[in-house]
Amino acid sequence: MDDKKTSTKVSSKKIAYILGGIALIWYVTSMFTIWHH
Amino acid sequence: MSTTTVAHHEEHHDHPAGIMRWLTTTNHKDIGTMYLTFALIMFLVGGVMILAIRAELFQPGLQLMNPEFYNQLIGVHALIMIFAALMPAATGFANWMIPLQIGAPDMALPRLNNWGFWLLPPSAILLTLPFTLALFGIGDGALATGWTFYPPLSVQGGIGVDFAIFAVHLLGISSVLGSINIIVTLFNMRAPGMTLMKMPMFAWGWLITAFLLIATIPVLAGAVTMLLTDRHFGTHFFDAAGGGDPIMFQHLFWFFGHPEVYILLLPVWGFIPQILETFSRKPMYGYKAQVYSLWAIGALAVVVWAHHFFTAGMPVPALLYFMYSTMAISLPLAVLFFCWIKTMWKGSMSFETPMLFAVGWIILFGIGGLTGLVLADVAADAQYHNSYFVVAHFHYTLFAGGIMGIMAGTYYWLPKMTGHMYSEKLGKLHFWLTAISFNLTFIPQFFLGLAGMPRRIPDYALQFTEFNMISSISAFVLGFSQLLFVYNIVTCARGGKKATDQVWEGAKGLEWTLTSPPPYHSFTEQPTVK
Repeated sequence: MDDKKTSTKVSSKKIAYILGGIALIWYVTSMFTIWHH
Repeated sequence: MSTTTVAHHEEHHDHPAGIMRWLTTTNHKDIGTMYLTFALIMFLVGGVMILAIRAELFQPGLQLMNPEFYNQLIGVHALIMIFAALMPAATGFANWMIPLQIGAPDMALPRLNNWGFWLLPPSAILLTLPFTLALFGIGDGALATGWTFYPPLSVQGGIGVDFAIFAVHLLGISSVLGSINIIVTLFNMRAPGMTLMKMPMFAWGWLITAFLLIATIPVLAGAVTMLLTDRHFGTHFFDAAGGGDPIMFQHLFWFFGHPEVYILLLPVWGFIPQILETFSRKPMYGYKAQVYSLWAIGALAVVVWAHHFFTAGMPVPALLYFMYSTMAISLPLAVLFFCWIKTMWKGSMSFETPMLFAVGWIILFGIGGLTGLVLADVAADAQYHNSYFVVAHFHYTLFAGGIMGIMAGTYYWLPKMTGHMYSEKLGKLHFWLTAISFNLTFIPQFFLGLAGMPRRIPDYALQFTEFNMISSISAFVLGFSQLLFVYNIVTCARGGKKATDQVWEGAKGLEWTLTSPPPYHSFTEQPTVK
């Protein structure tokens, strides 16, 4: 669905990018942690 | 709940026909149907694999296959059932039902939704292709490590491990994309008036599942990526011979693996109370208590992982911590059980197929939970670990708790999805055959485990023969009775008695205000919720 922004909502795409970014950073961090184990 | 009844009998199909419809669809119901169909096919594929295993275990000695092939079937069976059957089935219901339940026209990110599904078939091919390649003399078959990929076996294994690593990456990406979509949909697409604490329980179950997936899948992906570099790029992260730590892999795997159990179960814990309230004809008991319990279980799920390898060796304080934290999960779970039973208490109950599955599910999943408590005990686990007791326990959890729950949901929502009633007679026959043969398959395995039979072996001592024979015969009955399920679904999809819009007398919620089947574009007029 197209984002129908209202003044109170964070856009769907923004939430998706934030969650996707968290997943990506978590993936890299987990490997980095093992690297230094 | 709803104050608006939406009746759309006219549909405007502006989508391509034929195969292109399914390849390019962004419609949540189409994608949900593809997920559910894929899950059903893979359930049968994984089922055939385990029947081959049970045939081998019918009597001691090696009759049908060599130990390597046996190990490959074990590992691929588990990966298929977890990643390609149970998870896609739950995601299929999420796609179908979450927009309908929250009054949304579709998922928030439909194109992402399409991608999420179409990553699954290639990963299923990657998982099973090594079997075919081995027939042509390429490689030595699929991964033989079990679904856990433990090094050093996985570092030394054949190309099947590489195929499985790539498959897990694709499945993980698919799960994360699906999770993002569900979280965004639930946050941004709810109908006016539907606050978070008015969401249907299924939506709550999935919201927590989605967060768990985002928290744990990247760690699994990181671990198997590094396993790949150990195998092919000269690193030694998990290879003790090069200074690496194989136990570290176990920590990382189970940091994902234990929450995965709840990832498979939370969606079921969401819709089972809805089925119970429908067929008890009274409101769900303890809505808030259930929501808080789901969150508590979700939080505890990520801090208890090491109980899967107590026997690998760890400091006593760590053993005690993981034992007590694991046992703590039984507290919110007990709250859920209480609420489920209280929902039925003094209700005007009727026992159509979904309710039969739901009630049977409570009892059988209860056995799975209680035997899990036994395994959580460090002292007892030293005896039970790696025995058939564990196999019986997790099948009570994942077959009874997961798949039989999915079957309850299928019978509950099938008339809404297809617009036709399924055969109640066949549905009930399916339930009783499944429940009886399931118990006869796995109760003997508890005894086998207590008697000391280890898991993951194709041959066993003579003393275990009788229980294995009972288990194998029952497994075949269980397997073939699933053909009734498939037949019932297919005939229901093709025609039959028309389903009403509400379908079930006691059904509540926005999905039942739409026609059966719902229009191609759901809720073109947004409903309001009081």
